[in-house]
Amino acid sequence: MDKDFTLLITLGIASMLLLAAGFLLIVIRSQRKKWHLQVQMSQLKEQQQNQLIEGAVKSEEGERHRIAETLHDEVGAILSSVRLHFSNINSSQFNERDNKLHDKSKELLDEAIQKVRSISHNLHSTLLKEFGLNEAIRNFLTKTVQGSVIHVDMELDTNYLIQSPQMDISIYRIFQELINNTLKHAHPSHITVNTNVVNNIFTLDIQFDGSGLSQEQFEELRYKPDGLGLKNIQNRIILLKGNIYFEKNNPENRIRLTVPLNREL
Amino acid sequence: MNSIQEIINWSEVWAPLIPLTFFLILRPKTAWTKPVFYFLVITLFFSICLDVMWKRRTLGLNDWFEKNLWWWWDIDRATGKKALKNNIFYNLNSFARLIFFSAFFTYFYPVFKKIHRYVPWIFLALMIVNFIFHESIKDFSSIEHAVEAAILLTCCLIYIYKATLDDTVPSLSSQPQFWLITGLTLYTAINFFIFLFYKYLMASLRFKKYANDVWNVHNISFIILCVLTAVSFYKAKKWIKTSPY
Repeated sequence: MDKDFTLLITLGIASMLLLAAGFLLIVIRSQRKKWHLQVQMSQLKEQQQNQLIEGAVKSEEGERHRIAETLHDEVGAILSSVRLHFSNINSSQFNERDNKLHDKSKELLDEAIQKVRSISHNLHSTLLKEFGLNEAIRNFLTKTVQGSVIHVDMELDTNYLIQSPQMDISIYRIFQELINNTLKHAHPSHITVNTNVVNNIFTLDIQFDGSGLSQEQFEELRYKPDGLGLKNIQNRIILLKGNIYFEKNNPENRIRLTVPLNREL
Repeated sequence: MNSIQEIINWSEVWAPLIPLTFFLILRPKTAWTKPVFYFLVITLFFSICLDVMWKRRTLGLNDWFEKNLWWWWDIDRATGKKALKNNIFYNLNSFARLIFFSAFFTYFYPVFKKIHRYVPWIFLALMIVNFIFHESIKDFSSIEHAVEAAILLTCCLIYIYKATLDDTVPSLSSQPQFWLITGLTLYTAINFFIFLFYKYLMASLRFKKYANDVWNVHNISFIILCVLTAVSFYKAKKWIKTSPY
């Protein structure tokens, strides 16, 4: 009787211990499994999102190329032909008024040809493909501020080697969008652009005076339906697995883009 | 063999010193470590009192106890001899364990706040009634200990259940408090039946040896609880360095 009683207690203790230990082990294992599945799911989601963004960026780039080629080969060719015909007009019999109109028209036609060429070059990334990111940035910035009173300083890291074409194009497009936005909204009188590569991280720094944008404002604006440019920037940054920081500190505002290099896009 | 038995007998005194040392050296800033620290201090105090009372002859303090604490002495029901009972410290320790561990759980899920607000006080009220009308506070209260173990075991199971539903938890073992909760789950699960029958085992001479053996199991589970508490303190310190929470 005594033995049965103590055996019963011992069994009770042992079964409680086994139940508790077994329960803990099962819970830990199932929780770990669940977490792994969640991680896998979020990775798949991210992959799917990246594929969508990549598709959108590629189609946008394709469309840019198509427009650039049409402008260059068709509109540009027509305008050049018009210019040729226009030059062949005998203006010696024109009176002073007509001569003035002829010269003005020729000037405007030259400007139109130049603009079409410039737009087509901006849309097309030939310079980027042939001479690399540094040259494309230098060229774009010089041409953009040409004829304005904006003072530009540039210090571009020559250690930057051409990455994948996709990556270079994405960085270049972000840069274009940032400069266009800066000129449009900040009205700066001085822009400084620096690039450098440290520990396989490419950093692009744009400093400017005028009215800047804070990180909070950027986060707010990129979710607005009309903020297409900022959305494009964000999409390309997701694709590059990079980061962008906005610092509003008048008169010294700053935009910093960081992109990890040596990765396949 | 005797020395191992002596080490196990005194485990209620030296085991809390392990997590207390970790706490005092590492000084984890995590809020939940505070109630656990207070519990360890109180349990250390109670354990010193009860073990000194128990080992008074070995320590040469029997005369002092007879002289100064004559009013504390009682007649042992099993032997019929005069005995100095230290069970009051076990009963107080049981309540301290419930109050401090229920406070510890409040840092994790809102349901524990409700439990902490009501359960320990209902438990205390019932125990007062029990000690006035049913049991003597000088005797080991199996009811008190078993109910306390059941409540804490339920709290542990609720925590584990909630944590498994929480999608933000990457792995249970990565959370510092989980180690302490594991220790407490094992401690309460193992000791539920020990506490439930211990009074009856102690009251009978036939089960005296078995009662002593079974208390060794309690002491070993207490050592495990203390070691896992120390692991929790260590992890809590590391947790602060890597996480804002």
